[in-house]
Amino acid sequence: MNRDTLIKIITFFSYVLFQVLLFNKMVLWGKGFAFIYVGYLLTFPIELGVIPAMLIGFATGISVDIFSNTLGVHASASVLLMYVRPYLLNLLTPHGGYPLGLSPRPSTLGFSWFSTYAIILIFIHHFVLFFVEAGGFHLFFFTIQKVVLSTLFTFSVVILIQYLFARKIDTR
Amino acid sequence: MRSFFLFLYKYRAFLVFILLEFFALFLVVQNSNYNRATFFNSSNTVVGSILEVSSNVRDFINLASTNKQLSEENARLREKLNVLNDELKKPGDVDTLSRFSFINAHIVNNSIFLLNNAITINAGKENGVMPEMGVIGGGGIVGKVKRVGKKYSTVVSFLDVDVKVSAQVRGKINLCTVQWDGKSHQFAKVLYVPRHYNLAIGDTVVTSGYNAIYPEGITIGTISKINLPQDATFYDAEVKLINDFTSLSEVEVIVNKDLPQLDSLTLTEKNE
Repeated sequence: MNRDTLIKIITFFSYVLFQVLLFNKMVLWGKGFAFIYVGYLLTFPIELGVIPAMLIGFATGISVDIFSNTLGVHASASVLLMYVRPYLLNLLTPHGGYPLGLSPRPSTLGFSWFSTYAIILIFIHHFVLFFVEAGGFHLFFFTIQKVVLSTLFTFSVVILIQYLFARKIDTR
Repeated sequence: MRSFFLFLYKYRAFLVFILLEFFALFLVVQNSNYNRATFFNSSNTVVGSILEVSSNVRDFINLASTNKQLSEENARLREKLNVLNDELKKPGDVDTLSRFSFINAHIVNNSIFLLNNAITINAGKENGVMPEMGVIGGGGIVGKVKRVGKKYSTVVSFLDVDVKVSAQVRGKINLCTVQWDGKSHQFAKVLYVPRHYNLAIGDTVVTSGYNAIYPEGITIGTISKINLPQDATFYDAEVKLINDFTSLSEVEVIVNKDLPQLDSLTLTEKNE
């Protein structure tokens, strides 16, 4: 097992634990959630195959689900996120393509690139998450408020984590 | 045949995606069904004990407010005790008092901002908790036990949009329904109150006792908002819940000793 895999495994546990023990309790105005584990899924290397990516997404989502008694809700949203991710990465390819072995982070591809990438994927993830949780499109406006507010909250925390911690661990 | 396998290989990513999504959604549907038991939820011992460590830290910080809550509840109960003592002197049905016993439990995990909220408590099979038992605390109703593990159980919170509680308005209406609308953890809707009743702000809403889960007279809250449109058959009313679900920490699980008998009665009724 190489160093990168080990770091990914350790960050997995820290993200999930911080999510269920701390961020699940921090809710803004009853509507804004911070699902910081999405930040973990966003920063996987660009070359990662879509099938392993979806399996990782499923494992992360189901771990959060078990602790919050919402079995399947986070898992379905995370699998979709990981499925859509390569398509979005394709769309957002910068001039000259991506360098080999790169992880999408603000430190590697710049703040504005990362923001576009992160906000789109977080929005998709949260949209699916809250509508699956609501079990349909009744309560539409209430749920869409939750989606938008939570997207902003999650995004801010993800960016913050990137600038505070990730830079020191790996800068590639 | 070969082209079929080529097809599978070509679309393998999409097929895995569909497979995983179906599995996840299957779990969602299965989890929202009350009667199924699944292994992976917070009544699992490992998950429960991790959550308990974190709840111990939070409880330490909240000690002051918990103390205040408990002493307030004590005062209310003492008041009630006086009333009950007087009633006991009259001949009446003492049976109802001895029908229920209580199991103390501590809240380990609690959500309030989802649409189907759940509570994890640190009492399980070992303590005599069984599925379908009612849970009260903080002077009002809390929820209903859903799944029971060895040491922990999960409770369907009253704050669940699929839960309806049979209720009455003290001194006025014998039967109505209270249901949470998923918006604020402080308020719920009072349904099916016909317009000829004289509902007023400040009226107390309590459980009706027309089910085997909650005893009669457990407080739900007080009426906080009334709206009666010209052409409506029923009131559009809101109740402010007595329980503050954000700071709830000690609860009691209600053991109804007549439950097996009641259940078999309803079963035979259904069969007939």
